[in-house]
Amino acid sequence: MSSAAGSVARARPREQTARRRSRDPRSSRLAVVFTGPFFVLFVLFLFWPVLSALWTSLYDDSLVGGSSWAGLGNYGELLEDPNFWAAMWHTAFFTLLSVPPLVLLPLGLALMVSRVRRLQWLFRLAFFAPFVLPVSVVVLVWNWLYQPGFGLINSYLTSLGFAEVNWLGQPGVAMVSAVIVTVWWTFGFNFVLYLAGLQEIPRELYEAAATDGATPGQQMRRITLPLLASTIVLVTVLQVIASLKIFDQIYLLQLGTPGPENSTRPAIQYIYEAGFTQYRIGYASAMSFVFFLAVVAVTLLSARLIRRVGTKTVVTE
Amino acid sequence: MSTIVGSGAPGGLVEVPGRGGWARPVIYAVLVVLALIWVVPVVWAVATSLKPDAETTVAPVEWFGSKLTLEAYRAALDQGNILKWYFNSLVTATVITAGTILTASMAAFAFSRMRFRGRDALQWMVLAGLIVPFQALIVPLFAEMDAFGLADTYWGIILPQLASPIAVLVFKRAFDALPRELEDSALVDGASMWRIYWHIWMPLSRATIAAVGIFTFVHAWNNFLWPFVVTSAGSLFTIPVGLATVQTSYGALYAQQMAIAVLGALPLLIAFVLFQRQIVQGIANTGLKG
Amino acid sequence: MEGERRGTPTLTRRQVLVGGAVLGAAALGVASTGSPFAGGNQTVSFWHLFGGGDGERLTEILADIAAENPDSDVRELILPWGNPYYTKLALAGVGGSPPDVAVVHATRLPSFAPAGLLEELTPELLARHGLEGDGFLEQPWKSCQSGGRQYAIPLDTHPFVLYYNTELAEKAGLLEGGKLASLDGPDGLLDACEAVKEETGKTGLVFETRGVTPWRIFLTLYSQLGGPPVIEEGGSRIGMDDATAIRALEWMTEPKKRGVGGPDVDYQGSVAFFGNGTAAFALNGEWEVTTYQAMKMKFGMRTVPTIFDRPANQADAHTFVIPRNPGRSPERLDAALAFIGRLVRKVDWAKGGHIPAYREVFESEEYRKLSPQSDYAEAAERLVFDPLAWYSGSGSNLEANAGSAFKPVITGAQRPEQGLRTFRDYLERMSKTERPV
Repeated sequence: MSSAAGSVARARPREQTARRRSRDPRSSRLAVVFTGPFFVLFVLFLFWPVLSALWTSLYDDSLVGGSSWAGLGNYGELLEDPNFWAAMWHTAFFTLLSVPPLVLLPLGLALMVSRVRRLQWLFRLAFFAPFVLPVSVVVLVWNWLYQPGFGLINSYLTSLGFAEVNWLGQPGVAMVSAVIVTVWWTFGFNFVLYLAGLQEIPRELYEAAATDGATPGQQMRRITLPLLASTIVLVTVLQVIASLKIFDQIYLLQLGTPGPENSTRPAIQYIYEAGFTQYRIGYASAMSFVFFLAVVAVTLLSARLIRRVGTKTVVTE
Repeated sequence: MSTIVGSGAPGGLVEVPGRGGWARPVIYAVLVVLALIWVVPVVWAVATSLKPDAETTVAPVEWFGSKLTLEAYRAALDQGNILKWYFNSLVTATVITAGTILTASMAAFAFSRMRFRGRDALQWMVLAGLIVPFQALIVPLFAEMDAFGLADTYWGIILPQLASPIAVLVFKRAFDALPRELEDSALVDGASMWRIYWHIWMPLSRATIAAVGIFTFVHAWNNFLWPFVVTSAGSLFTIPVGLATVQTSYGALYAQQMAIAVLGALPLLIAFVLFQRQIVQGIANTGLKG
Repeated sequence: MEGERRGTPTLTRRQVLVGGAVLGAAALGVASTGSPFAGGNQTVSFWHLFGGGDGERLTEILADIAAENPDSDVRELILPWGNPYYTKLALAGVGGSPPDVAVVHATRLPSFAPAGLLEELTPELLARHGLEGDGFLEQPWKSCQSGGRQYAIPLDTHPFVLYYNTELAEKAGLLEGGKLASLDGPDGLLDACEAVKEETGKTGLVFETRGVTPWRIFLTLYSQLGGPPVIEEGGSRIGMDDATAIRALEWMTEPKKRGVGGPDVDYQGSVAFFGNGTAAFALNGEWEVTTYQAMKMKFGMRTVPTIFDRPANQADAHTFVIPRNPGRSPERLDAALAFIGRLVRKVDWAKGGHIPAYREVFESEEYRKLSPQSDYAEAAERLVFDPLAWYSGSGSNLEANAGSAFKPVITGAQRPEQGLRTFRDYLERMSKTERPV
């Protein structure tokens, strides 16, 4: 539609239109109409709650009415609350355990899948399907798998001569069980991201390398991985953020309890309990705010760190 | 936009002819084994759901009971709740998806196509919104919904899930990629910005709408934490919340539990099988652009 | 190109969308939980937390009542068991739209009555509907009081009991006349478990280790030892005697020590382990009776043996409360009480294993004919309720934290002293926290 002659002919009216547009008061009004709905929702449900949490954290509010000034009392309490710090550690620990497998395993599998021509749809289906399951289904199924005695996993372990594993009841193991469930469940998302990243690498690079005599291994090291670096960075950052927000699986797998010997309860669960089962909204808000700051800090830090590492890798190649 | 759909160009490694031929079958074998392992939990759940309840706890396990029966499903449906949960999930997820697409694309259109005071500041706000962890806000959000009288209502479930910074960014990128000329000729013809948005930009962005829509729908449907916090009336439970109550209420009726789990998984699984291409595509695009 | 389509009349699409949105919004606005005063003066809005078998039974009972009383209009709402139920009920009360009748565990009354959320049930009100105190079993009735006033009417009490597999028990020679012989004394039950293991190779005793059951066993044993109340003054003072508590915990380590204990298992698993015949004995609340009947098991039930000095078993009671609502008319209040009166007189509820609190039903032939449900009726005379605090009661944090603290003691991972220390730390923290209700 826009030939060179056409654009020249329209140039002056377009400039005039553009200038008119930016000075036109209607454009500001129009912008309000267009951005308004989103920002109303944004302020009401993303921005305001953060401020509200800060405000409420200065009071000893109860969920069912009753309020008294607490000043920084709630913050003082949470500093000394071993359960809060244990919960924060559990969240961090879960993140440390879950990020490596969820970054590396899908990468390996994506590399493998991209090398086969047939049955790609089958692998994509198998690995990605769990992602569309709601967490409750995932937990119902895995709880059933993890049962002692008649649970599938333990049953096979014993028939192979091994001892049963107390998947959900042993401290230490319980967190690993939650990680296994999470990997099974969300693996497909990262897998798909990697596949897409691999798709973006032009075939010509490989063909050129192949004619130069590079082995598949060398091709992978010199072409694939460096060009995939930005995707790997993306996947890692997204996974860290997602893992920090852990609540659903652990809460449901451990039936709402703090876990064996208090070893699994993540930060969000502790906040939830304080606010909704102990009715202490003030205290819960203080913890929410601290948790919020921690997550933001870790997110920004990891994004920056990893991006720096990522660019370095690309540059040196 | 790249396509990562199946049998076309896999973007894989090219082998030097005559070398490395042994690797391919090994890779196939590994992949097949892993895919089978991945699928076992679901298959086992389905197998359990087809057994009579009394036979589910035999050890060592058997894949089939004395008969294949649907009595667990009948019992699960008799409870009457799962249909209500389907309905609630459908209603809330649909409204959330429609609302998100509308508000996010409108805002993105303004960012992409209009110049106005405060545009940069607002865009930074959107970016900041990306980092906010929703889970940390459940307590103040609940207090807010309660104050509005919206706790335990559909709107209580829906409203906080409508503001999606990531959707805005995805739309903006898509809009930025569209050529200006389309718009300019329309402007010259006297079209309003609204018409341009609705009749030109949106139809052109079908793929992005599909991507954002699918991602939002799946996320809204499967959202557990917020509906769990904000509702208590069983009549309002969405599928994830309703299913969570099953764990503690049945007395070791594992076939029924698995039947309910299968029923709970079915809608999105069917949708996934039918729309595999679009879903996977959408996530890839959203993710890469993010 | 798409842009050239601007001339086509696509307003209809927009109209449909907008119209649909408006309709949708309207529909959603209406489809919330509904006004508290929907219906008329005979309407009773009724919240409860009974799911599964109990829920089905209650639905049948409600259908019976509706058939017998055509004017009544009972609107039932089922919410899931546990903390969320109580939170929502409290919020509804505070927000001004509570139901007319709600089921509340007796041990949860401290969260409601002192906060002024419940209608006081005056003697005059109760007399008008034939629901005076002497018509009910003593302990359950008392458990419905707070500050000397009556705030609830008990429907039943549901104690902790002992289940036994009659086939396995018979093989081990433990039956007398078809029922289990008395297993009192510290070693009674444990010896029986060993006999079963010797004769049949099956596990002796199974119970849930991963939830609240450890607390309930603990409280049973602690009370049998005559220990002072674990917490006092509404939860702000700890009265637990450590030496007694240790003795109770030590007994709980015995099954594993003697090799007759069950696996470390969650609630569902523990029910399954008894149900599929892997274990001969189970300690649990009486409510699984219909589950085992449905599995066509041969089993019996009896009170928990008196392992120590005096008989006691942990229990709670399902009670009816009327949340306070100043806008409620006297007629509606009467309808609510009439409804309660009808419910407590139904013997069908006992089929679910619960012991009826209304004397007439408790002493009726119909109830006594139910076996195994009436086999442990004497448990109603030795009830031990959870100590009262804003953080205790059925499904509360105290039960969850105690269970979590005692589980490693049961599995042998920790010594009783360590588990007790964890629990005491929890109590100390809670006792110092200001009550939010």
